[in-house]
Amino acid sequence: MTRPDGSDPMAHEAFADALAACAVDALDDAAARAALEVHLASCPECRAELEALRRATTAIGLGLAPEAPPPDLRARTLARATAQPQSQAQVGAAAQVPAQTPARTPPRTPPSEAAGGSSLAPSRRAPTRLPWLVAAAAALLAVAASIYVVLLQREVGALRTLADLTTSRVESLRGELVDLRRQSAELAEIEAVIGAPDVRQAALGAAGASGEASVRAYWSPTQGLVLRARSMPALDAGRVYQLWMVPRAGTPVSAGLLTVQPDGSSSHVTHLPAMEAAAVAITVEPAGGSPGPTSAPVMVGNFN
Amino acid sequence: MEPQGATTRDFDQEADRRLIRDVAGGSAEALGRLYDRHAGTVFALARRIVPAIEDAEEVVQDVFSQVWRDAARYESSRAPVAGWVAMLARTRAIDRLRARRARPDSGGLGPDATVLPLAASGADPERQAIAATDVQAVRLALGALPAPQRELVELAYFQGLTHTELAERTGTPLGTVKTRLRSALATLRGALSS
Repeated sequence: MTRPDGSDPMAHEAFADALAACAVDALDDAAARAALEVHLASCPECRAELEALRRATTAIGLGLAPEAPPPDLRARTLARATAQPQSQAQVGAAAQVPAQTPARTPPRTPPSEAAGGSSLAPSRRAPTRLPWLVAAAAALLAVAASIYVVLLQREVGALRTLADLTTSRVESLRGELVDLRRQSAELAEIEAVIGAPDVRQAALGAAGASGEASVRAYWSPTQGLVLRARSMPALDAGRVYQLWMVPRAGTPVSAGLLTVQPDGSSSHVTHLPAMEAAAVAITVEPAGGSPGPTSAPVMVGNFN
Repeated sequence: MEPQGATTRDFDQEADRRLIRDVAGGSAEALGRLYDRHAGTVFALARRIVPAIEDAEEVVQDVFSQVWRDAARYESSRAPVAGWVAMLARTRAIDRLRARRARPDSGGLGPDATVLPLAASGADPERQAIAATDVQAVRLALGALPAPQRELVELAYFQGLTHTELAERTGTPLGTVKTRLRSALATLRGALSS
């Protein structure tokens, strides 16, 4: 059930404990305070209730039997009080001739000044038209805001942790995606070469001891060179397999270094300048490769 | 200048209002007369909260210093002075009490955090009018509360204890503290004439 003013009667009940605690400044649960602030902003009934509770509690203090302070306190109090500048809330008040011009000393503002319900700088000289109520409301809005800040900071902390976790997950997924894209692109290139109308094949035969290797090359003058290998013998550190295109005439042209996987497989795709290639060969070269073959090929195959 | 003025209970709001207006105009004499009318209540309240007499005297000076500074602003609200002064006295006294206590168990909240007023508190001083009959009625209602409820009200009002601190001090579950405090204040509020 909702009332015409939009307030929910159940809400009053839910805030009753907090409201009572507020009347004696005993509400120490920041979340409850913040929730109450929000509710009060839209609930005149609860505001009126809080004011009534405040009146009741103030009456407790007023109900104490007065106690005469030490006689000399009066003079000390008046001397200290009137030594301070006065705030000026109204043009009318400022226009009155003071019976005694207060000494203008720098304002002495205790840290709890705002707790007394006033927070304007006491030394404000220009008549301010800001009504007391507005000043109080502004000060209290600041209190509410600071409570929200604490609550929000907590939430931000939690979300940041979540975001960090999410970010690292995203990073790892992005890495996987990059790998997949690269593989996909490579497959597309392989497909382009193998499916090209001008493709020619070469089965590389073992030269010497590396007879177990199964290596096949596809050469399309327009699309490039593909080499698929299995069971490539592992090499000593500092040695690499280098691939060569052997033209019908002239010196072999490097077609790059083979990257051999731990299981001995290798997949190599490269684009080369168009040439009349007769064969493809693999040599073992020092790390980084050589400009030209420095040893006899370990495998060689003629294009069909 | 009435010598016994400081101990006279006087809720004549019209007189207070005139004095506040004069204080706002810079009259030290008017401040003296306000002192005579209210210092007894301020001092009694301060003594109840901060037993050390020098602390109580400081509270009195703080309160009337603030009355001097803020008279113009307060005067414009046309609200009863007695309630304002009592509220200032309690706030200042509890500030001192908390500072003295320097409790390590304030739960991360600064000493000010629990005594800051809420948005609506005091937002409408017009409605804080407190009649002398109300004061008497609340006093009687407080005395008639069940002991556990009265203890909570007094610890909260005079010691500035919060919900959590009340639970710790009285060895009562927090939920019970909340309910009892609420019941107690509802009773006191019911004693008000309006």
